[in-house]
Amino acid sequence: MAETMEPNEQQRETAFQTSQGSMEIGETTEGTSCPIGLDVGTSNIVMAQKRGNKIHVAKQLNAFFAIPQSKFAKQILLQNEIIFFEHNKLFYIVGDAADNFANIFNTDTKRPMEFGLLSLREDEGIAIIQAIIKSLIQRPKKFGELLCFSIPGQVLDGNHGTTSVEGHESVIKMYLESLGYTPIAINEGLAVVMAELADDNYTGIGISMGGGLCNVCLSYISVPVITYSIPKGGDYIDQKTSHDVGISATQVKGIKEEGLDLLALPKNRMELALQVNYMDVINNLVHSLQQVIGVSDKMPKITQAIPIVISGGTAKPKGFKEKFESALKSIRLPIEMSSVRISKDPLNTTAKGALAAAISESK
Amino acid sequence: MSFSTVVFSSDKIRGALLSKAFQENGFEVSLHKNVHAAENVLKTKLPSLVVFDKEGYFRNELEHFSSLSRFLVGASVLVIANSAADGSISLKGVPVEWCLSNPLDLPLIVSKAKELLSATIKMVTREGDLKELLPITDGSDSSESETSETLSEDLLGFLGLK
Repeated sequence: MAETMEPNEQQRETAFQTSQGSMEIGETTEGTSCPIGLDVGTSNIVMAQKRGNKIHVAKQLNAFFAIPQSKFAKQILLQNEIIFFEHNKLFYIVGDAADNFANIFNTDTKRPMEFGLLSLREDEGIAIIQAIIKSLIQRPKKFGELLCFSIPGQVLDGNHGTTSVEGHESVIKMYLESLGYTPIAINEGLAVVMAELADDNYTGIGISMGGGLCNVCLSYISVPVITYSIPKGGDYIDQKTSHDVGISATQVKGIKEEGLDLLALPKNRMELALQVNYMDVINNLVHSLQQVIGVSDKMPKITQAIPIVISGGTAKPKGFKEKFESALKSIRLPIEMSSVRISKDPLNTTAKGALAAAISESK
Repeated sequence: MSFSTVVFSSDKIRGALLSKAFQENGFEVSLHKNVHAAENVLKTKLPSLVVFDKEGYFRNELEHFSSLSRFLVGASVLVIANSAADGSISLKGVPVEWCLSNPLDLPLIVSKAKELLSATIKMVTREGDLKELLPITDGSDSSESETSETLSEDLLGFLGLK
């Protein structure tokens, strides 16, 4: 069992940059009594909370990097306000800082989650997730405050060395309850619908393209009629490209996020591999829609065309929407699609949708 | 004033869809899966409408629902099924409407429910015997009678017949 270390006061005051601006960790939830939305993703853990008329968002990379214990290393970590804990003569650096260390050592970070679920490969996985969540949310002022957290849909095609969705949900729930919250799970695709499709009466397809999975939810008046996920996402693109061109997946990720344009002709081997692997994921996702929605007996009669909204870091590159629309034309579905759009704030959509669900539940 | 409806569905998603569709149309909905517990549900407070989604229920559960006629007097029943002619549900003395179950056509189901309630109210109004529709025992219990009259007023208002 891991011995987790409480982040010290200095660490608690670390400022996180978010799309909403920066916020202090110490401010995140302590002293407030408002519902919280939490996106527990393979790549990032994102917290959203309403404060007045604004939604505050804070996030941490869901990754870690272990280095050998030494007094000098500890001093450096504390001086730089890096979140870490000690176990088995190692310092486990968690969150955003893990990526920087991986780049310095020219290697990859490790992940406590794979394919959207807790990984069974990492001994310290649970302790790492707990340390990251604890850096984002404090104990609620009011015991039993609602917290809505995201869970993936059942993965099509398989067991990938992870827990089941139910097992994953149960472990996260137990930890959040131990902090004093009343946790409610929400499907990740439904969270996208809750965040983006209010004007469509919460009817449409929400897709969250994260690191480990692409999560899909067909929602009708906010009821998740069909939910599933495919085991391909940003990590697959990074790892496959890393394998193709021979550099670390962490470096591939950096290049990918710097400004990949899926509509431009590739200029080098790296861009070619990235584009090929991106199209592989898009085609898999689109064909899964036909495979699942096309044969479902759960579908209610839907006469009007419905929108598709896509969120997540994997949907961010320029030209993604056009490539997705083009692939969508190659399949047949039992319902008409009115539009495809990328969510307004792709990295934070799931957390915001979970927050919307938590607020709705608390009324 | 919302309008009380009990939905029975063995399927979580279909039940949620039916509940949500009725809620969005101003109904106050309670969702149940277990038909064998229906007496308790209906005894507690007789709803104006009972929606029974037949799909997925076993024969013994259908038979049990059919035996509930006496608990349903005063309510209207909407059965969602693939066919009305299979004889699996028969309720005596209760207005019943049928609606096809696959695919679940929620706007049509809600519209049929409103028609069913509207027709029931009109019939009772025409006969000048609204009390017979409602579970009143000889008018001996004045508080129950008052509740029923209030409910009738609410029904008429909800359906735009007032």
